[in-house]
Amino acid sequence: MNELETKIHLLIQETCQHPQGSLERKKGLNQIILQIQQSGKLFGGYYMYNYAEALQETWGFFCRHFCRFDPDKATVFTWLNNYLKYRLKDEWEEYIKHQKNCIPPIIKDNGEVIDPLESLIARPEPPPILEEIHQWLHQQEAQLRRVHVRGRPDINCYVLIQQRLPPEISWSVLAPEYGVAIATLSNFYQRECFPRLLNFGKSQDYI
Amino acid sequence: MNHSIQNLPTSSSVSIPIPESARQIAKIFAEEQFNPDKARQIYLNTLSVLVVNTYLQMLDIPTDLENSHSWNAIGRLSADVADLAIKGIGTLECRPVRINANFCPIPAEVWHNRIGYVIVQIDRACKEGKILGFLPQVTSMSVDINQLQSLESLLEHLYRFRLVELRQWLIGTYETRWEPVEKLFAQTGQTGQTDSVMAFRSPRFKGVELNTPEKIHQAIAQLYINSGKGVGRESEQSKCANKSNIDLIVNLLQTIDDEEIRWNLVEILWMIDPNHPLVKARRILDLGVLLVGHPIALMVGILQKLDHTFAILTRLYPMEPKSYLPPGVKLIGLYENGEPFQEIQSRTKDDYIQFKFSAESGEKFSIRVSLEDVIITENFIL
Repeated sequence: MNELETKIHLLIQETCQHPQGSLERKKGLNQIILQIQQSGKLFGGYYMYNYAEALQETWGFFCRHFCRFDPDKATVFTWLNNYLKYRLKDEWEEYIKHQKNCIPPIIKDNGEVIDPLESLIARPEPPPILEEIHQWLHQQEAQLRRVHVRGRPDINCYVLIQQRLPPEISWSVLAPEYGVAIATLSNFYQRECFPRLLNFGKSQDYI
Repeated sequence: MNHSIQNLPTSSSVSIPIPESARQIAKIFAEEQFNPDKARQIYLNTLSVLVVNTYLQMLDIPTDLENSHSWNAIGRLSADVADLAIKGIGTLECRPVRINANFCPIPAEVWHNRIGYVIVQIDRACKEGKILGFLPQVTSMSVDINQLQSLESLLEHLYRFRLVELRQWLIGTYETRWEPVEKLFAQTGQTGQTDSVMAFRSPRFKGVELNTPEKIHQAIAQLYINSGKGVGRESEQSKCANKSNIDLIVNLLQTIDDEEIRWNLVEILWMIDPNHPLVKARRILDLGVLLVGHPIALMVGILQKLDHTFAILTRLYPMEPKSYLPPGVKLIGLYENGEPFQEIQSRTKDDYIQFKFSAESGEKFSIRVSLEDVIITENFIL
């Protein structure tokens, strides 16, 4: 067993002495994860199908059961890598069996990594929900105008919601127009406008 | 804390794998938008929230994704939000950056109502999120990712924000740091002198220290008279027995709603039967570690009222026998929005300070203790 393994084993032992749910235990586990990741000794398979799935399951397993780890039987890396390889095998078999959870390739033919952001397709027209919000705004105009920044009836929920709905006017344009700080506007929006908008959504079963 | 833990590096980021299922959710959320830039932002926001969600779950910190604005169609449409609700604690904003970015934009609509900001670096293939660090507050359009605090300080920060669930106290479940009152006073007294420490704490009623069953009985009788109910014949038979005193108190507690009389009864019951089910929801928090040189404890007691709301008593005690609070300690009650609703300050020779209030189920409040530069805030939910 090398120095790093001994260090991590000791850290596991110390962390498990802290009661479940305690801050010290969470901090210890965070350190253990960092140490294992920094060691570079976890089986790597970034370009493999379903590697992320298998790795996530492995971390989940480790975090639930790390206090069951027995350094007399294997090093922590052997323990984790064995689990990870089994999960990769399971994931691969699932993949062969069903094909349906096929994962799109992440490398182009020329070897360049594909950024999924490039293939996103925005809707061609605004979603129907936006039209409903505008109707609600219109119906509630009188009430929404009554809720305003102290001493500034012109900065009210009705106008601010309208200005912040897409296509929205940026905070840095609105603030100088009203002659107030951005934080004043955004705080008012966050406290008074956004919750009213979300409540309307709730009443329309949009949640 | 163990020596070897302190020697390990603390300023590193944790990598969280991003499975295909997360990218599918992100794609669905993104493609609800009709502005391509906003669609890309929502895609990254969603992954960032899921990465932090996975990390917190790994550390057994319960989250509430469904109740986060980032998981709400109107929330995503009308704001640039990447929030994650953490049960009993508050909302954490999880902002994404791509590889090689030095700054992370923070939109103004998320400068408020957040307990902190976590920055997540998402790689080109969106297969891995690196949690770079956190900031407790942001009020600027962007943050320098070289100025972030470690994940360890995030964990400490979350721990400070957690809510004490007072309803749990009514069913006898407590966090370990909230200790039984007897235990703390017993520790501070010398062995064998516990009684004298507790005697010093005997409640007074109309200036009389209630340190014998007879005096207690007389006080209860007076409270019956004050409540307009009279003591009744049964008390005559067993004037000196504690049991009958307990029965008398319980009987009156269950029938009257006068707050002052109820608290007087509770004080007496705390003394003669501290674990009685009606009043056992009372615990004490040792603040001595934080208020260095001042051994002070915060006591919180709760009592269900006849109308099913709750009466709450908060009290600051010196923990050493026969000592006083240092003058100038403040005990402050705060609404959820941080506005104070009660504030009292100790004078010279106060053996305790306290205030009482009522709250409803689900209500949140904070209790703050301050002395000189030190401020300690505890957050509660009923």
